[in-house]
Amino acid sequence: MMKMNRKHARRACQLLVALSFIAIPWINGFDIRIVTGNLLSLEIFGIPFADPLAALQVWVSTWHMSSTLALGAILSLTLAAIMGPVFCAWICPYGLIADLIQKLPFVKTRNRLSKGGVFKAVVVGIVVVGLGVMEFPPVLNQLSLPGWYTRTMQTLWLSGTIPVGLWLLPVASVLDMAGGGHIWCRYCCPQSLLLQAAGMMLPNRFRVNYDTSRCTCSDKSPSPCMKSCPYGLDPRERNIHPECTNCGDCVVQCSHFGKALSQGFAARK
Amino acid sequence: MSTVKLLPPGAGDKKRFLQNCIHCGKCVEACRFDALKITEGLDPLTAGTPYIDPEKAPCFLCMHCGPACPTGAISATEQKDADMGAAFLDKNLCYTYQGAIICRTCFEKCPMRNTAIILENGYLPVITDQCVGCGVCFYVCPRQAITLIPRERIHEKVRSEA
Repeated sequence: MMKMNRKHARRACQLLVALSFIAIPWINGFDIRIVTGNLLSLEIFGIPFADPLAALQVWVSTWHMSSTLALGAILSLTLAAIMGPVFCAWICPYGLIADLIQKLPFVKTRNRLSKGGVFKAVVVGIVVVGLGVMEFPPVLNQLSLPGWYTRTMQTLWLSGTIPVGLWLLPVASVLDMAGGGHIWCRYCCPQSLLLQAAGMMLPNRFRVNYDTSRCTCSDKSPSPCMKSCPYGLDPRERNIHPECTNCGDCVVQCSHFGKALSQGFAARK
Repeated sequence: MSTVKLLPPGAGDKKRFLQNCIHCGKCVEACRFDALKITEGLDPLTAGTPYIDPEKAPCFLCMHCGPACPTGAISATEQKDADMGAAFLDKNLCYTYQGAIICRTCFEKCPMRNTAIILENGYLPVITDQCVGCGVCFYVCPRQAITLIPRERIHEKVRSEA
């Protein structure tokens, strides 16, 4: 029997979220409101969660934020501060699509856009401040693929139509197929930035740890763990990259070798 | 005539509303009458925000969308503060004013009956300045005698009549 590992757990979690959001607007139609909203702002058993970037855009544009929105953003950021940007690997429906695209034989597993993440952070920062000063609505939400996925399901159940924005999903998929290595998630998606920033706040958080003494592939490059990383990061780097989503694929891969990689609460080395 | 689109009750100023709406769709899920729809298309300023097309389904002022909104884009208000627009009755078209029949459809269906629409002499409908523009009378009128002006266009209407 195949042993259940962390990778299977992650796939199950991603699938559960993706399938849940197909059903949630329909279930809401029967007035059973356990989960309401979409991945831009969600309420589970009355506990609000919100996309921190959406909250930031509202705040910069209006200098005001409702307590529900602030609490929602803080809860999302707290999760990211403790666990890292786990949203990207475990919850985001587009993350699942991008992971599956990467399994196609012709798609590269790594892309090398050095400083691509920094470039994205600078561009998004300028856009948020610039549009905020001009008192624009939160337009960066329109680039949110988890937002579009869940909005499509809402529109489908509530209006019976498919919104044009759904086409952003295949567009990003084609980009991912051509570029490889989760090019959309890493260099286009604006939502991951604040989660990554929150993940750098606490000295001690849930992260991938590397035990040099147990590593049996230190002479290989790229190593099996690097090849298993959906983002093409090197889990053995001394400073684990802020982009690391704690997906755990490298830990599963390493368990077939020296078991040098593990996940747990630890300080950044 | 172009189609009338309304913002949800309690949305207030359109610019302020759009600045605060983060497109989560909770108001649309909360709407008891399927009046709220999600704006489609790719206009980045409005796509994903809720609207009402009173020709298809008007707002019955159940006021469930305000409490569902997490950002305060739609404020949780009472019916009298819904402030969505205003309805105007064309007496030259209205069956009752024309003496054809005593219709009263708009009066009977108005969610704010006796406040927003009153009956003069017991049978002539009059839309008062308490009307919040929910669009129900506009939807039910068998003679299409009612014009609905959304909140952001009311000043044009007032100017044209002055």
